[in-house]
Amino acid sequence: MLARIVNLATKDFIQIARDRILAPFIVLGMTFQLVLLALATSRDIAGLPMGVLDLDNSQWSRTLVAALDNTKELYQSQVLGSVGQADTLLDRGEITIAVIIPQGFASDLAAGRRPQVQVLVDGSNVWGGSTVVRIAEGVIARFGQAVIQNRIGHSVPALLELRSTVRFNEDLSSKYFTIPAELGLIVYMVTLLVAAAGITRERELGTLEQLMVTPLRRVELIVGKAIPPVVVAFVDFLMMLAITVWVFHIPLRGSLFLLMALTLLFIISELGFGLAISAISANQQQTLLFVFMLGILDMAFSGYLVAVENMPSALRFASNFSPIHHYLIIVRGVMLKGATLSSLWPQTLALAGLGTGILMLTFRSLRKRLD
Amino acid sequence: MLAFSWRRALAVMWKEIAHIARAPQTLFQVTLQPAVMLVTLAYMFTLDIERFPLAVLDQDHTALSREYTAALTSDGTFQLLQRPDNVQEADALLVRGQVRAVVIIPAGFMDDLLARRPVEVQALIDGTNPNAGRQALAQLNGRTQAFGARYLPSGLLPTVAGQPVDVRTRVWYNPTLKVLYSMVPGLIAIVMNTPSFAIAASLAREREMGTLEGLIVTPLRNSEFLVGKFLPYAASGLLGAIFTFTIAVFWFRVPFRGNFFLYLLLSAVFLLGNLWLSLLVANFLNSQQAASVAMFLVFFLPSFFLAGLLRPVDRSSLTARVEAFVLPTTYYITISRGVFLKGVGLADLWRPALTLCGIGMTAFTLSIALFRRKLA
Repeated sequence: MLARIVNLATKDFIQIARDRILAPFIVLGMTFQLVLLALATSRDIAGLPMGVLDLDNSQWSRTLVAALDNTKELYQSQVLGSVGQADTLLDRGEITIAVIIPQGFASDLAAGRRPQVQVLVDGSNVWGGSTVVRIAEGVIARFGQAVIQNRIGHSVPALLELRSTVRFNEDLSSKYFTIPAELGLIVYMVTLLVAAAGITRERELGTLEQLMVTPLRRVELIVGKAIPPVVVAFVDFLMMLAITVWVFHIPLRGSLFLLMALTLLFIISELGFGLAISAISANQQQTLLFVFMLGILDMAFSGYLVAVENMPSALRFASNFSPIHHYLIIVRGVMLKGATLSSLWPQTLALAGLGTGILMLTFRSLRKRLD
Repeated sequence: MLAFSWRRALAVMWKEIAHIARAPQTLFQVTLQPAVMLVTLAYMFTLDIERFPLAVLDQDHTALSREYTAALTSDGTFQLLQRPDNVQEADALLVRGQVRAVVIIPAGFMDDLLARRPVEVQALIDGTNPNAGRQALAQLNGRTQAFGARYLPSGLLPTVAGQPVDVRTRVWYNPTLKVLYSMVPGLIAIVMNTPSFAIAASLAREREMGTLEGLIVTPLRNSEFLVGKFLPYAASGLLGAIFTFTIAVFWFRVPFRGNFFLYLLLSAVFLLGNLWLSLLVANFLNSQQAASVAMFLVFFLPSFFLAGLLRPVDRSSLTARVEAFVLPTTYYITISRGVFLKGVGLADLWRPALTLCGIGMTAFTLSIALFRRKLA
């Protein structure tokens, strides 16, 4: 029995290796894409274009513009000539924020009249929009404090102060969040793609019937088909983990062995979903589109778009059935927090339960469809 | 060489339509699937709230420390889930991810505050999600300062009127910064990648099954074959655009301020760019499995992470710019948000529209020039 399973798996490996495009794509392409994504998204939001209309052109107004320009989030890309130009550039998306400083700004400040600074923000991308609002208002508030200090000669004391310690990611750097998520999502994709294509491909090319007349039993066929995706995904995982740790310097604070073991568990439970797609697709075009649909929904449950606690309750409940949701908690836990099994057991149990459930269901429906 | 014949191109188109229509799953996938994905994805953003699970470690146990806790949590943004007894326990809550932040109120909080001695409250923030961490921090800071200000001597009370600069912030196109309004037009651009996936699989399928070789003996030209492939998927994409538009406007009530026909026209331009780029990529692939992996690498992952759906394209990173700016999805997100939220016309959108045309024409020319009928 074992020999027959190994034979089938070997055949699939040869098939993958023989495809000049598939083999490098599936092994190196995924790792390469992780590097590109990591390079492109690891930085915090920075350098959002700002247009400034300084109608005062005084020392105070230039100080304020410099303070805005000196933040890492904003950079002055345009000197505006008129309010109308701000509108046009915002409409075209060439600037995210326009700051308009009125004439008489400095003299109003000196006289204690409150000059009005206008900040116009493009809210069509919420993430960018809320960032620039926060940054601009913060800078202007600090500027105001400097003006007060300049006026009364000392600063206003604060009675109650919040001293914060950020744990696990002291600088609140984005790459700690994005790179482990991208790693998890790519492992997820590889497993699903390779697993889903396996049986559908044989069916579409008509070779499934040939396999049926061999002494290969149904169970052996399914197990043999399950081996390549697990191996490919695990090799991809190891390569990407090495790059994550050594090239991008994401710490691995917990146990490597634990991370590997739980990744294997994750791949196996995801395999069940891949085989399930295999069972319901008539051809590989359908497989691809089903994977696309499942992939996009799972990506949403992963917490990358919205934190799960901010979702409507029905979706919060549904996220429990998504292996990637549990896996990303595990990856972040082990890598960034140094978590051990004693705090990750709920996720581990969930993965094991989901994997067993979906594999059993798929086994039954596949066996029926193969007969 | 024969001239381009629409009759032959249309024959290919009918064959492709028959292939799609034969399987109900495929028919569903190329027409309704984008709308179904949009509904599920958009639902995540309907609550539009920020909730932070919080733990408070109260070492003071006084009326004032309880009042402070209430001031932090009363509006529901911070959900008081746990009251740990010591710092170790508080830290374990962060490791398990049960709370996002812990506030530690020191002993003597009430006495000091009433005596107007400065008090320091400690906050532990989970930094693994930096964006959420930063927001939690800003919110906690604001609430703490507001609470502290109540106990300042009245002369030093900072008032709004006392601020030397009057900031008037106006957020355009989406005044309340509603996440749903920003995400739905962006997500449309992502789910509208469906026809491109289907067309890549369809071309790779012909090559995998060997049906392309049979075409050598027919008078069918490469351009006729590819145009015939392109048409049904472009049509199904346009249907998808109409369905997703309907869902966005009538179900999720996203404001639509632009011109519907312009939106449809620019969606067609996006499909032109995306479908031909997809055909160009698929031209180099010999199997559907390779096509699916390539589609995910070249289209899916970058569209999701790099096209500006969530974070604006990082202009300081060269890789981000290069990947984002050859991707049709990037331009479609700009177009979709522009027409939906900004209500702008071609005068402001000619640049992404023209770039999409450019990508489409280049990919069209290259696909036809490089098209191989034989297996490698």
